[in-house]
Amino acid sequence: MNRAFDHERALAVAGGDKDLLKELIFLFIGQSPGLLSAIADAVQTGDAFELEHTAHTIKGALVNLGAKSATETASSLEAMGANSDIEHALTTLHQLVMEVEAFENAASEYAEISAE
Amino acid sequence: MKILVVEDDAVSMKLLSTILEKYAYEVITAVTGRDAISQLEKNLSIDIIMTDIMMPVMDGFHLLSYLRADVNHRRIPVILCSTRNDLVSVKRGIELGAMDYVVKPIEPDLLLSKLKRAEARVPGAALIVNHEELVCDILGRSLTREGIRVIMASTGARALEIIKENKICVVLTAIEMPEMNGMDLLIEIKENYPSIHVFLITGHDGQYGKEDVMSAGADGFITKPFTSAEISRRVRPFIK
Repeated sequence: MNRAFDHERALAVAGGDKDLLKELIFLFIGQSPGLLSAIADAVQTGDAFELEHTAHTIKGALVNLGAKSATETASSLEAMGANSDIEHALTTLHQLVMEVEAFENAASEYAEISAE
Repeated sequence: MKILVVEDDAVSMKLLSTILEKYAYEVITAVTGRDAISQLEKNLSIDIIMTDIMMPVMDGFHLLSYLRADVNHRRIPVILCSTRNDLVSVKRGIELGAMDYVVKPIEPDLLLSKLKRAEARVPGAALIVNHEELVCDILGRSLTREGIRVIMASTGARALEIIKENKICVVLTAIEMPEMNGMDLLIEIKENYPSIHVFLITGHDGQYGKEDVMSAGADGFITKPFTSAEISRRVRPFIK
């Protein structure tokens, strides 16, 4: 299983519909800069409530797309926000950014291959 | 069946909408609990609500509390759909009146089985059939205020389609309508769906009188002008 992008899991979530999965991948890629910026704003301003909520939102998208590593990291950020324990949030955010990038690379490659 | 999906994440919303539409559900969307309440006010015939928990402005738990306190919507089955899978959240949701819980990632087959269970809990509806939009709206609002689920149709043909796809307990139909009139609709319903109660609504100077419609099998005859209280009193006993 690829932890950056488990395409089999994602395809099962999409009910086996490859076109839908591709659409979801590109929808996420279009939205991820905004979602990550919102998390970054929360971390930089030390707003634990916003961190919990923004991390939860991206987690909801990632978990449906088979992005296992990024989902776990978003979940950690959400928990940091919920517990108002954001000392290490910046490091975890950097990790999330890298994992989202790895997911997007793997997922867009999958989408292009399955379009051929 | 009409489902209101309440979800702030665009990917989850697209996924849920597409899956539900594939299963032939009609999907209405809202991105916050407050947005969901506006949709409920605009759409009289929402059958099932599927809502995320953590959302901006008004979360899923607050939406549940609102629904349970509201006579118009307290009977709509609600399924919570969230990445949260801790017992505390599940327990709180059920205590607030949710009938079921789906944990993300979505499992389409599991989702479908939960929706089938929710469908069985959808209360029966009153179907209002009238080509005059204003009359439909007035009748619909009177019944909705009484907590009765309402579906509207502007023609007899559309009414028959709705009856085929929904749990209809009572039909309130105008007699004078273009194409299929209320008498033809009454006969069609009584032939094919004898358990549905049918009331015909007409003015004093209509083509058909009370005796005509009662001998054609109607369960009641309502003459304009009618009051909201009268309509509710006549319809309420037949809503199961």
